[in-house]
Amino acid sequence: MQTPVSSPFVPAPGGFYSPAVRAGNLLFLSGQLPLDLHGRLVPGGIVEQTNQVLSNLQHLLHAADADLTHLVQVTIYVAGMEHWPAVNAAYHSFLTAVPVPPARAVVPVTELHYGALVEIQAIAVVVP
Amino acid sequence: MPNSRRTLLAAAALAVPAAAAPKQPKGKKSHFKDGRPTDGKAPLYSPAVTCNGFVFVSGTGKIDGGTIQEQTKYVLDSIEANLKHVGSSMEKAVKCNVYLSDINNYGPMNETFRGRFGDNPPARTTVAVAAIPFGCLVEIEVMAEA
Repeated sequence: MQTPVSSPFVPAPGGFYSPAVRAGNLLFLSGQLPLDLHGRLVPGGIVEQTNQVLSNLQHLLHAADADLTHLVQVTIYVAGMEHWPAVNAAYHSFLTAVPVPPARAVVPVTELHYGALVEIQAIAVVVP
Repeated sequence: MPNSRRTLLAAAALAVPAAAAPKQPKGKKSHFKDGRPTDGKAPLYSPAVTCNGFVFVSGTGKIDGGTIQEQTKYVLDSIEANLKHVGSSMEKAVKCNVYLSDINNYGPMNETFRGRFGDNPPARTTVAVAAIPFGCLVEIEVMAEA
């Protein structure tokens, strides 16, 4: 059984997909972009964008009664490897209280939607 | 104790009959909708794998060209066939990754995508990559409940 999950604190999807889908004890979170509640790219640079993306992910986790500690796998897409050090630092700060850092992959891509510099998708384990 | 370890491994290897298939994780199963390759070589990957109540469908592209709409439709049809082959369905999809060779194809891909997964579509991630094998415009992979 699949259940769509959304959060009032995360912008509605720009395409035909669910913000997150729960199946059994797993939660699949769509790639989050650095968009505010109104769907606008947040001002600032790569650090602000990474924080917004992680904040969106956190809101979706909360909507499923989970939090950052429930993340098991994270894929980070960056539009250019030069952004990687800043993304990694912001990610580390955000997840500093997570005892078991999730497995992670980093993929440099040519372009992301809306010209975003970073997009993050994740899988979390939740209580059924 | 590298030596004794090697001995143990050698003993373990001897205990396996030569014709036995390599050990697979319990519950993992490969699915070849169109039959297993017949060239006598080990397959590179499985079109679909079921494990632990989930089905993982490999990244799928249309290798003989076409518009972004044609390629997206073909890919989704192929994914649907693979899901049905293992007793799953588009409605059971939980996660979808879309790789585009050009982010400007996001709109037409999206319109072709709409409605294909029912009223509760899967979570999705879309990125543009430097290139997709065989010059494809789009490649999609899916995870679903089996």
